Amino acid sequence: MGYGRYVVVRGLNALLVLFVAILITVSVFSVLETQQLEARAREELQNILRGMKIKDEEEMRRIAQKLWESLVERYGLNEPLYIKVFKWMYRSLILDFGEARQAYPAYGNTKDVRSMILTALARTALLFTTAELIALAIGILLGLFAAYRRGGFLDRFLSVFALTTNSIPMYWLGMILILFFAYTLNIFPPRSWEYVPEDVKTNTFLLFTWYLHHMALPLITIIFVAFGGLAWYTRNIALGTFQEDFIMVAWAKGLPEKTVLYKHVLRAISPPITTMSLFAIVNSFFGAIISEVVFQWPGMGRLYYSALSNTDTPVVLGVTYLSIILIVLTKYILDLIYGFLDPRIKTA
Amino acid sequence: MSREAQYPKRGGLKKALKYKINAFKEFWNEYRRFKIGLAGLALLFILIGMAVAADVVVPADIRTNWATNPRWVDNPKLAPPAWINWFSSIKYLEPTDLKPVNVDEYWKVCYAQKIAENKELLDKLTPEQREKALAKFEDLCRQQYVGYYFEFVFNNQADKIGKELMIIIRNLKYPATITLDIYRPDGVNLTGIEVAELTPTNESKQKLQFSESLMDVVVRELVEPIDGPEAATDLMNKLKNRAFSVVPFIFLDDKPGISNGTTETVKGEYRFVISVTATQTNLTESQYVSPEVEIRFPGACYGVLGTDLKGRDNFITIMLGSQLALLLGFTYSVAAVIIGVIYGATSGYLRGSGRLWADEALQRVNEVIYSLPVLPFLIIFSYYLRLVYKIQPNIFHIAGLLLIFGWTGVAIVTRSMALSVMGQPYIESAIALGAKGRRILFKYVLPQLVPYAFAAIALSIPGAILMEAGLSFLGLTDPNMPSWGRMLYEAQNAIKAWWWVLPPGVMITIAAVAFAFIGTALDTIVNPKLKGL
Repeated sequence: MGYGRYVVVRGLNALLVLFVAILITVSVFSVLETQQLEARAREELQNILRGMKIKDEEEMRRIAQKLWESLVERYGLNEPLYIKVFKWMYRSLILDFGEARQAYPAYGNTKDVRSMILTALARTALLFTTAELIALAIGILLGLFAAYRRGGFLDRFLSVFALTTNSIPMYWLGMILILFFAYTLNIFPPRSWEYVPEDVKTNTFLLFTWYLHHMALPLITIIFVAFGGLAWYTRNIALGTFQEDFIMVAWAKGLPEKTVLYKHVLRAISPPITTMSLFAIVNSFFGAIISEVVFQWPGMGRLYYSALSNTDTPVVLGVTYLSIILIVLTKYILDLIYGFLDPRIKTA
Repeated sequence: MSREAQYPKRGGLKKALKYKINAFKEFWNEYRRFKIGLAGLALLFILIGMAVAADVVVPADIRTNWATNPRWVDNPKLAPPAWINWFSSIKYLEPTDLKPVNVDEYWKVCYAQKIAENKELLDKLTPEQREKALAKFEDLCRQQYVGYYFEFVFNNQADKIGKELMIIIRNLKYPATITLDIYRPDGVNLTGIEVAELTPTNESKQKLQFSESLMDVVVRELVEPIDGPEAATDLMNKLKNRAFSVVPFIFLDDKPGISNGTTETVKGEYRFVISVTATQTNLTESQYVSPEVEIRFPGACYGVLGTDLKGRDNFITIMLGSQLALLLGFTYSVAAVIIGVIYGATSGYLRGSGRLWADEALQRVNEVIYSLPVLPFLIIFSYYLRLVYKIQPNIFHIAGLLLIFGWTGVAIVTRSMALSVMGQPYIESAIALGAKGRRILFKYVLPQLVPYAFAAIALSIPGAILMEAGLSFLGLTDPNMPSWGRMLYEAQNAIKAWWWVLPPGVMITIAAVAFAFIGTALDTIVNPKLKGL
């Protein structure tokens, strides 16, 4: 199978996944939206009838019926579900999620769901991508070191450490760190997002340190939870490679240690490590859904949380939809990169 | 596990049992070489012990109604654990019930008074007349003065008393006014506090934290003489707006700063006198029963793990949470692994027996579900359940939702394992001997996957526990479900209450780690490839 065909097959697969995922989301959304619109239409009907003050009951029922029909028409309640699903699928494709039920001041002065989500996405990326990059750097270095010093203290300790940190709920660790560093020691602010003071804005260096100071707690939390697992994964891949025949051959040939490490081992483990890294970065977005709430960081997660607690369905749909696209697209791109880096995959 | 141990050749049940025991011993000998596995097992035993103990410790009514159980009313709110007193220099009052040390009836006072007043007259009377007169006095007094004094002694050694003070009146047969006088060890007396006007009742709990009469007396007697009228009105307004409770002020030292509540408590013996005065005379004989009165200080610390904002005992919630976590973990993972193994094995068997398209179709379905992002879907599904069906998702709903996605990973692995089993010569000979599809699948393929299934069960539990905690933390699950995630959700705005925030997270981590350790050990035994690592 050539690389071109591989790209097409994986692409079709990704499209299928995307279609199913969006179909489910949009169907759920259509039912919810219909329900909410119906409630709204009923309320409006009540209001109109109350204003008219009709005495005769027969007359009242007739007018109510007529009004209800016009309201159903206006809100599009008489359309069958599949038409609505289809319409919403189309609107989702052009990223038009309509208006939010209410404004969320942390995301700018707008009710437009798309612009709110884009603002949120940028902030989430700022925090979580930074954290994940640092965690990756630490994790990969530690993992390589553990694999190199196989059986050493670090190596033996790493699996326990990785399994434990993987089991810690990130949002809980965040709460504990806030309790300790923000409330007890007063080192870092308990809220990670505040409006930047004017005098800080003018100085780039001050601005940078201001952000760093505010982001410190979430950064520490994410890095602590993430780097152990990354290190362990790296170590396992590297150990597997160390045992491969071609490395044996390299040693047997008498190549210097540095050459073996950098030219053979590192090159062989780079494809899985790349995958792991990209995946970790995308997955960090989903860890964000819950953790941002704790740090009051107004990104995707916080927006999701506010929308859920206000039953703001358009926003919930928008965020879900975007997360799905992100994850499916990344998986596809990873497939492509992986297939490119590791020729064995394409033929499998 | 050797094949011989699995399949006894000949002999009865006893022999088969012996083989099974041998097989288990063999497995145990291998398992116990993994320290990580043993640690996981130890943690699992602790969890199971907690879940079993919860059935004994927790009263049945709390299990069915945890969120709004009436028992919580008597507990202090947001109180640290009782053992804080061992470490803290500030002493917290433990929950205290006071019983009256002395009960007096009103008419006796009147009676004694009447006797004293008419002493000369009485002395002149004959014993019979005297008797009659005394009976007359008693009757008069009993009719005019109906009521009781209850005297309590409270020896205070604590620095923090807590926000609440309750007066409990039981068995009251006539309408009555309840008043309270407090005599402090430093000589300041808070008298004439009107607690309540009560109608006849079996039990009534009078809380004093927002009692206006108590506020008046406290401000008048304690605050105004020290901090001046301005501070007094200021404090009075704050108290009336229910910014904080007035109860702690009863115990504060009358030094400057009392209006801010910053002075220390006065230690020593406090006397509380509660008078129950009937508002209606002319009682019938049967109403002459004495009411019972108690004073209860819910206190400022409570139990092993303190309480939350609604007075719920955190220790009980943690214990109940362990039941929920284990229940969810096992229900979900056993179901997911069974579905996954059967799906994967069928898929692998179909390919192995040449039906490529059937396998391909199964694989496509699997891959689509596998690629769906789990958390967003879980959130949107629970949201849907709540809005459309008005269901508050409980453990079983969550297990069901997780199950939609949970089986796919297992199916992918078992498929490839089944494929390699299908390539084995013994399958070929089974087919040659005329074995049909279902027999091959269930007799020859599936048994080979059982060891892996156990590892997969253990490995998929942590994810389920963490997911449930996450959903609960977002407030998407049943508010009456005492799970650890729910605790964290409710503790979000009270992060400073460490006794509330710390335990649930530790328990989630322990539960997840226990199964992750066990699973990793099992996985290493089952997957020989991992052994070298």
